[in-house]
Amino acid sequence: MSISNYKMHTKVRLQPLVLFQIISAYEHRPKLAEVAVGTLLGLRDRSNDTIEITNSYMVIHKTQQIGEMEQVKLDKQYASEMYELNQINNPQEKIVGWYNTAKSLSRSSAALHAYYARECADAQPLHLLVDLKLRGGRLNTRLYCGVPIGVPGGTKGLMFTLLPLLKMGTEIDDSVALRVMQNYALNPAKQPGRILPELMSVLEITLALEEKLDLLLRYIKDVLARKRLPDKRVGRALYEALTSVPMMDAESFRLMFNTNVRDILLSITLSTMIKTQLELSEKLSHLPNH
Amino acid sequence: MANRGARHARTEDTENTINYVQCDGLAVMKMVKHCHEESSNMDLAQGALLGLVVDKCLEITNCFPFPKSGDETMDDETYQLTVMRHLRRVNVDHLHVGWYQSSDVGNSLSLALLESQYHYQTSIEESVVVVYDTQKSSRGFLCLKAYRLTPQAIQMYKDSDFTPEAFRTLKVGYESLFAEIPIVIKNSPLTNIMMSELNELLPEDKGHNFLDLGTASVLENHMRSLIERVDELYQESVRYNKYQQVVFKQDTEKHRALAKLAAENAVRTSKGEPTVPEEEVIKQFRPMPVPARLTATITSGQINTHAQHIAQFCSQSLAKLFITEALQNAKETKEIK
Repeated sequence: MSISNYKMHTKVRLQPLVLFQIISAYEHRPKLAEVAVGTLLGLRDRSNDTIEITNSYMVIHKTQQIGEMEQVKLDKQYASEMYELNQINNPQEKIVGWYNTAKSLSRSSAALHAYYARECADAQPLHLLVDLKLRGGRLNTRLYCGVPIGVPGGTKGLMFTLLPLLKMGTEIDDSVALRVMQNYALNPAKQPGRILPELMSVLEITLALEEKLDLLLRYIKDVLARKRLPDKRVGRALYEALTSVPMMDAESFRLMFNTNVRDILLSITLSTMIKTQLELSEKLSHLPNH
Repeated sequence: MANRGARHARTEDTENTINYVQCDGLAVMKMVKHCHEESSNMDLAQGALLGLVVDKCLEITNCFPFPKSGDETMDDETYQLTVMRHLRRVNVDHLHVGWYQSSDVGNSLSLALLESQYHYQTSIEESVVVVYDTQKSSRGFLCLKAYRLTPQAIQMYKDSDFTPEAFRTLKVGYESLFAEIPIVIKNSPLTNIMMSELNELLPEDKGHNFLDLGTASVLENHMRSLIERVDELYQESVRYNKYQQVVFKQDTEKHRALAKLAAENAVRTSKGEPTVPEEEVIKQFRPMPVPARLTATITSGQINTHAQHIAQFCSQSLAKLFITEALQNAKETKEIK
């Protein structure tokens, strides 16, 4: 291993899909296995400034007890085969590191890290640790990179350094799907998992908006009544929100509103008419002969 | 695409065996990712769905993308089998239960889809096709729909008889080609925990883009493709009308010829000559080829889905407009004060 070419200012973005995959891998782990281990795939930009973790796959491993040391053995052939299969569809995704669902780093981490350092070839691997035993009631997601330490020419060691995990890198589509699923996660009492029709989601978000407005109004009233200390940040945010509402005089708003409503009503009429026409023609063509 | 279905024992009963589809969050996310990536370079994304059947419910627990066509390094069949074998080793359900496809503006129920789904359903009875609408989803509405062919449609395709009579006897209409199966998204408790933690990491304003008021472009797109489809249907019906006219004309001519023949034969019998059989005349009129009604039916189905989409889209746009009206009203009353 050469010196770490990982720059401390590198930003790492994690796509939510990877977390889904890790949890699924953990849930599908073999009976005797404690943890799930796998490879992280992603994109690095050329200057190594941002790394985006976009994909992952599970790798079969065996835990061996040698003396008092536990050794984790990866099925390297399986790992490389999976990588090649993934290359067919996503040739841009390269190995950027590995994940483990153990509760903390262990001795075997260093050995695995060394293996992935070889796989990554020119860059330092990342190590994502997701504690799925839920210690402290939370899903602790931590990101490490290895920093070699020691005397030049003498004994060398590897130190895992905690890295800040940047926000989720989501596309619009992803976050839409996530929002929908979060709704189910947070309101389990609701009917399970149906995708709501469009009008319903508008209604729901309106209700949520009303709740938030109520919260805000209560805060403002409290501040005005001097029950609560005003917060500069909240004030600024409120001011920004208010000024972002476009100014529109009553007349032009009416004009905009009316044209839009007319367009929409016309479209509804047209689509209903076409549907009726279709139904009619089908009924006619399905009439029995004479 | 024809032989993409994995081969395994076909169950005997042919009635609709699936009541609803239950989709894992993981599979949803993978589909969304793949379809989104492909749609950004204007390609159609397709992939296989893995899962299992429990009673009347089809559970989709995982999926993987098909390689892009044109990649010659490995043929589709071996690729799929290898992927499934590898996933099986990490305990992923390896039963092939259908396929997914991306689409925009809702015109997904095409002839190609019907053909592939026919091959799927004849080799794997329970299989479904899941269609993910990229354009609608990027507007903030998650749009995942599962379809299956109805037994009548399968019967019709099997006989490959697309005459109007076949449609009539099998009672296949544009609405009974495909049956939509409700999709339910379900996540494990662990995933739900992860999701509520993600809630803190996700920017608040993301994923709510459906409150966007700029609806004209979407509506325009929908309308444009609706008009295109209506044009196609019109051409089909013109063709059919022409056929009917020709048949009618031929019929009258045939009748005239037959009447003439009958008169001649009457003269011949009175003279004691042998009569000319009627077949001779009938032979002169070759029956016209009946135009296939499949395209017309499929186009009708597409028009129907477009009309539904437009109606849905319009109703939610109206709701949003009225919300803004309320806001504006509130502002105006404030100004007057």
